[in-house]
Amino acid sequence: MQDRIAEIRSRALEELDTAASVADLDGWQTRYLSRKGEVKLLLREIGKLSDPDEKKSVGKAINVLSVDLEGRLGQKRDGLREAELSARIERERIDTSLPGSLTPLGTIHPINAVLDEICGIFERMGFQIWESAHVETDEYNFELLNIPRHHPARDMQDTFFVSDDVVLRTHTSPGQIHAMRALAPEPVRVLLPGTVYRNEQITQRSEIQFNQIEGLAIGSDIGMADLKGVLEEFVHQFFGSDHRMLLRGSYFPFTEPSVEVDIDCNLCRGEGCRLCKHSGWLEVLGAGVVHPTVLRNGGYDPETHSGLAFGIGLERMVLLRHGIDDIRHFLSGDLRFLEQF
Amino acid sequence: MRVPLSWIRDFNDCELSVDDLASVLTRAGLEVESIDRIGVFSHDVLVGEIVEVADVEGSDKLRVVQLALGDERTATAVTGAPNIDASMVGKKVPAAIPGALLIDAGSETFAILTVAAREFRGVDSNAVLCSEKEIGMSEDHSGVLVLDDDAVVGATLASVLEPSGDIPADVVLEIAILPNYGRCLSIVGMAREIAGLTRTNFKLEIDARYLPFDRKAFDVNIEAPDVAPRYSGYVLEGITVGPSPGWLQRRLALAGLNPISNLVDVTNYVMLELGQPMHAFDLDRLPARNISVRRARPGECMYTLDQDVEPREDGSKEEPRELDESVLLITSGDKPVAVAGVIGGLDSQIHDDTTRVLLESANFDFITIRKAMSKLKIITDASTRFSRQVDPAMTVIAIQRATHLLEKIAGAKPDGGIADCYPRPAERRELVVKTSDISRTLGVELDVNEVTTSLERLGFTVEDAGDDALQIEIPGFRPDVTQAADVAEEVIRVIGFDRLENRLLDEPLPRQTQNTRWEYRRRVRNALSGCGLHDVVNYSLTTPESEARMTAAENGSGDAPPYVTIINPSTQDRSSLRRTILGSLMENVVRNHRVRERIALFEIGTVFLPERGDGKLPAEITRLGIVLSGPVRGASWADTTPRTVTFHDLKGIVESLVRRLHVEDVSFSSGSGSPYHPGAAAALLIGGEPVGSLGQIHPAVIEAYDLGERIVFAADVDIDRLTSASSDTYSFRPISRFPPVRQDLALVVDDDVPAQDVMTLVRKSAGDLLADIRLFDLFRGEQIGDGKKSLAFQLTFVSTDRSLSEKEVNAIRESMLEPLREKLGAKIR
Repeated sequence: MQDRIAEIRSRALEELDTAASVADLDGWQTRYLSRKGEVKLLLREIGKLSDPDEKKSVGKAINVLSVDLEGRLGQKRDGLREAELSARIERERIDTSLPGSLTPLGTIHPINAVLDEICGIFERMGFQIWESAHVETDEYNFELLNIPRHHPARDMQDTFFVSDDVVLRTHTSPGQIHAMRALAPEPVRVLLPGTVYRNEQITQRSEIQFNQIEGLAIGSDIGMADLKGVLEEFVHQFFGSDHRMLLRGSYFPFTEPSVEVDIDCNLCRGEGCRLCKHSGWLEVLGAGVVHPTVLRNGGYDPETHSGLAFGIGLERMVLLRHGIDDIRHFLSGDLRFLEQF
Repeated sequence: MRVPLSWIRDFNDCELSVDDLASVLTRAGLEVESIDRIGVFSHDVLVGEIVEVADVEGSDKLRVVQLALGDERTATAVTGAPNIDASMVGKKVPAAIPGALLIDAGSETFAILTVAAREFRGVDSNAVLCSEKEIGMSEDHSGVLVLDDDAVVGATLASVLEPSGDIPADVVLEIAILPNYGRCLSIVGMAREIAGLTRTNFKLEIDARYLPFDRKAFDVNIEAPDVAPRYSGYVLEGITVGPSPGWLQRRLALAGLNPISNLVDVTNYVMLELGQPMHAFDLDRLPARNISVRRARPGECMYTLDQDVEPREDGSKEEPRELDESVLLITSGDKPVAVAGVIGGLDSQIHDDTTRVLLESANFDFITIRKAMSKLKIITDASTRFSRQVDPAMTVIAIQRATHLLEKIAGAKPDGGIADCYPRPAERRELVVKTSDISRTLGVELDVNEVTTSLERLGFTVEDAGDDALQIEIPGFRPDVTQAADVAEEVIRVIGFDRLENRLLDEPLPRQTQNTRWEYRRRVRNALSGCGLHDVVNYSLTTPESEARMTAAENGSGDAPPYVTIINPSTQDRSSLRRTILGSLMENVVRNHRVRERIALFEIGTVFLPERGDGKLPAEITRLGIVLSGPVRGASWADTTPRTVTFHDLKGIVESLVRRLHVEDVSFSSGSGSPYHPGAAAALLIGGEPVGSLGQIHPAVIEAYDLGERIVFAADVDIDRLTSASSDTYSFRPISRFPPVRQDLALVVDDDVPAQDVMTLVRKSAGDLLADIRLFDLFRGEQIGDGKKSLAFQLTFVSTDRSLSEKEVNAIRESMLEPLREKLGAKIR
């Protein structure tokens, strides 16, 4: 018996040694260690022995063999697994420096993206978005805004006429009247974004179609100081809190007093450069206290109500934000432009 | 408006630096657009040291001079000045570099020239050596000015020389004049404004001859006093027409006017100085010894000063200007002699032999002048001023000033008194304003004193009317001030915007509601850009011809659709408002056709339909347009030949959008008209109502856009109807704890049975336990027979309250086969 044990042991060890895969090990385990494996079969033969001492010693030897083989199997299995894993890892090694596969990426037009951003700033201050039409009557685009026919202020805007008394709106200001008339006598805080049209030459710096964002607030005690506060809040949120803002006197027929709002130049920070025409300041928007005539036309009594209004040129904000050198890109539909945003 | 500072100093003693003054003016609404520093004041005229002098080949007069300008800067000047030769090496001279403004020594009318680099006889010159005349220190042009030896090389000339007294060099501010700043269209007006803003003194002391009035001196009559409030005329005799003296020419030139002759120059000078336009008629060329102001009669004609009556080469002659009632006329003997406030007539203009003149100084209604300007399409210095309103008090003062000047420089002798027709003298205008109203408008507490002094500085007369009120007398040159808000603006201009605190609307917040249209457009943009599409913004303006390409596939000539048309377009290709958003997107495809293979764009934009509008305004409808063309993605090492997009890629995008918006009851029906391919288009329906269309662009339309072999898919959706079906309150479907059972079902149907019909019937007949149905294979082939297709679905069944058994699911599956066979002729494969 001892000889057979030794023989099985040496054979098993030899086979185990040459096993090359986990599958080989599984076969080996079946052959030697399963219920019908050679080692278990040896145990059955113990009964055939008569000498109790021999029974004991053979039994012990088989047990030792079984534990030994189990142990070696475990070790071998661990080794093979490790080898297979590292082989797999080696096999699956890739060049991560290859460019990523192209996922078609869409974009949002910078005009719409910046519009959203600016709307967000004013929405946080309680302004609500209010839209009005592109095609307007002369009455709403001009007359109700204190710009009668033949008024010098009409020189400031070149108008596209549809007929004698219908125009493409030259500014978003007609929305002021629409909003006031809809909301009077309640307080107003609206934002009027929209496309406007001017009959101009299309050049690097001027377009016939562009966008404005107008703001209007009406209440019982609103003055220039509120305008200054609200606009500085806008400047700080949009351009950065380290920007300085400057008001300077101006003229708009629908506000009195009227101001232009400048910020220190984005590019040179006030030192003077080409962008700011060496003034150190950039004009970013126009604003003012709502003209009493406009308040009245909107349905408010100037004795009891006052308001502020401002108008932002959206394209200019985008040009400054992204350093775009030509306003004509915006309406070009050119993918080489659109893809950059 | 060009404002020479030396002229301002006649009336104001402000000593601020030019830059500080420009900043004060700009902040107070008088934007200084540029500063011309001429001659010695120029920052571009530097002290140069002569390093080398050499002859210029082929010239015995010209020398080429090498200069040192400090900081290792050098320059080369070619000069013909007699005092420059080799002995001058080491001397310091004024060197003007490109950009410098100098007085043109060769011009007799005080022209200004800008130094630029140029070539003389093959020598590149980038500096000019200046005489005293060129830098405006004197009239001396005999040679280059030699500076003191201790002048610092490279310093500006202004820092070395101290210009004093009345010299030709000057600093001229170019100031933009806003519509309500008409008062600043004169030197005196500007000086008064500067005095008010800088807290300096304004003195209106002009040399003028004070003249008697004599209504009968000249027969002046105003027939239209509503639009011609005042007409003052004065006769001068003994005039010798000739050039003006240098000082006068110089001031006109600095202000941007060409000197012409003493007589004309004086009328211009007075206009610039006082803001009152004037005109001089040759008295002997007037049809009669009277003047009447009346409206033109229809058909009346006249030649104006800007016209040329000399016959042209072909013998034709310029036609006289035709007038109508919108034009106000100055007439003499009932014949037109000038267009009031705009331009003089040709027949009575000043000639070299003129000796007697009628000086006109009148006042006209600004709207009438504006109408005449737009009728005749003429803008003159006079009409510009009248169109912004002129103070009627100025007419006589201007005549007095002009007479004084013409006596001095043209030998004029006054004849009698001023004929002054002023039928309705302007009323004294007063305004009572509460200080508290001004404080409210500005948002800063001001006291009575501060408001009073601010206004007085600008020429208002203010009296305390008690009880917080001020009684303000408004001077004639401030027609723009009519109410408290105007007064508030004047106050803040003087006290400065820096006085205002920042306040953030300390008012109750109005009721807040969301603009859902706006919000949904944001969501659609986010969803579609997430699907790989680029958001575009297009012109609303197009042409009917351009859009007609979209209907190229329609046969027959239906009525042309109505357009909103611009009567004064800036370019012919932007003359009408678009009716279709896909027209704009197709132009985008054309634009990108040769630059990009893959084109994937969307636009949310407005179209304009006059026929659906309300009265004179068109309906404005917001549409969502999508175009998709080319490969699904760019080729790369990982996918060398990506497939081309199909109709179903576009449909997938539309379905994704609909899913993102949680719109219920969406379906598609096949077929849709222009501009689609009749066999590859569908309508998008919500609740059975069409809200949009999608499909392949018809080959004929592709050809009309000259897009070659390109295949384009497009969608056009009424975005407001789509998003109004969107819901934010859709319900969650519970996730079952029990495992789903999946079964495949392959059905063979006739090829023309729409897949959607099969899916709808499967869903209906499977009942509530069917959680999902997915078409995973579409097959046509011999095995299933001609004209047939096989649709393979994966069905997922799940119950929320129990595990489904295979048997139960098989039973459901079995029960579906009967209706499928009966209604669609479907056979199980």
